[in-house]
Amino acid sequence: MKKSMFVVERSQANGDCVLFCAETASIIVLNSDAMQLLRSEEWDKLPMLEDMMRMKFIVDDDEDQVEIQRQIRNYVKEPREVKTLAFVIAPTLFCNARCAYCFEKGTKQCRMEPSTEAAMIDFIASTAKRFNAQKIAVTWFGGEPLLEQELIRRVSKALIGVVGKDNYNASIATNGSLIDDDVIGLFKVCNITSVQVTIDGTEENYNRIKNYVAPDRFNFQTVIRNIERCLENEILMTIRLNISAVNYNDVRVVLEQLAQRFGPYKKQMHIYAFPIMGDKDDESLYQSGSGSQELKEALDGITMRLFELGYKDSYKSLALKARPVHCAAFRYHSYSIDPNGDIFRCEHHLGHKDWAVGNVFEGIDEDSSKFRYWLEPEVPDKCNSCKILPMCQGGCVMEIGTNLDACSKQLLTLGTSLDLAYKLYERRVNS
Amino acid sequence: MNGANAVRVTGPLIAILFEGPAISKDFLSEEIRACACECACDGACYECNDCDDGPDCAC
Repeated sequence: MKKSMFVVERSQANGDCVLFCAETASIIVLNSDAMQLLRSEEWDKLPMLEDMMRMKFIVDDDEDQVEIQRQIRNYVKEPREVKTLAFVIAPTLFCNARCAYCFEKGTKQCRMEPSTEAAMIDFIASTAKRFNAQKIAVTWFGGEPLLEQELIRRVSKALIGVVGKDNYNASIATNGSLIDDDVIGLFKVCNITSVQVTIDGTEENYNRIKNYVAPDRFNFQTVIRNIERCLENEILMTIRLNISAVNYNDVRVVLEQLAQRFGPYKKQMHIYAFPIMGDKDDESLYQSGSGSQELKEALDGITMRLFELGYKDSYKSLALKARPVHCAAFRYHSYSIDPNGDIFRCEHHLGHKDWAVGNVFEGIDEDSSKFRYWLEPEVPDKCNSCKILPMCQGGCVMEIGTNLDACSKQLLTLGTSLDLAYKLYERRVNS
Repeated sequence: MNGANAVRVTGPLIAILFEGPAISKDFLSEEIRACACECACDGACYECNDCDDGPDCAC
């Protein structure tokens, strides 16, 4: 037997040690005596040995853990029948906001034509049939998808017709400025049960960054009111806080404002911070490479505050997960469709035709190098000795060459997350 | 095991805080319980239900 290579240790002030196994995303606590036995490999004296083996903290001597991870990545990259097929659909690349950091900058703005819409519905229905999927999940994306409300209504109706209302679910990523009572009605008819909105700072900074086309109608106050409208209608809200080296303190303030305003709705809200991605040489952005200490402090600061405010109140809310591949784009079944009908593996490539792996008219060319590129199970060599390989699986393709082109941000914040896990444990034993 | 403010006991002790989904090394003959449908940024689940594992799944 041996201790798993995927175990991260986090010592606590009282001598206890939190152990996290990235392979199973399990968390345990050992006191100092148990840690001593673990370090000296006195397996026969170690309590709960079977549990530790089941959770993969301890593995057989001959277990090739890196090879198992490679096989797992390969497994989900192969075609197979699935219960649910998920699609990202951008009905338009037009937007009423003009954020400086938008990854769709430079793409040709366009909206989906009726012929493309019809072909897309056929493509989704035939793909679901091909892989025997019982359920369809859609994420509405853009541009600003709520500029195309009638398309959303029509497509939702058609897809509900394919699998039935109980087997169809949707979410939407929107700037939130266009949500009114009619849109709430649209969400209900179209089974859109969760909404993601990005907040970049307090009112003045938010309005400056968003740079809406009609700032008297679309602005910070509009969006805050619309978030409330969603919460009042039992819609799950995800609030993304885009952070950079210049807006961090402002985002901390807006976090307090959100907590104060929406306190009663904590269970309906998921708030998280993510660094803005951009030019590697842009000093206004966080760098995840050698300068990552600043980014670590920023992410840790928001994570700690979310814990204190009650938004992280369970082990699962710490979002420590093992995953077979880095993100959905690496699964065989990954479909992001833009207004032209082009199909991409990653939604961040919408509108960038050179990344398309097919289109809704002709289908996907599964033999093309662009498609096969995503199915390559290898990861960079350095990842094969990383303790959190099962959580990260090699990282994000989009971040290559950007300010975030380094190790997973999960690695930066893992220590703080394990400290919070211990705090949750203390709450439990002291209650 | 006790928390920092509780009376501590002696001897080796281990407590399970959270048991995540096991991915067996024999996975090829079993269903992988952890799906890959969540956002790598925030962990939000896209509800593909591929994990088919209810509330204890990786989502």
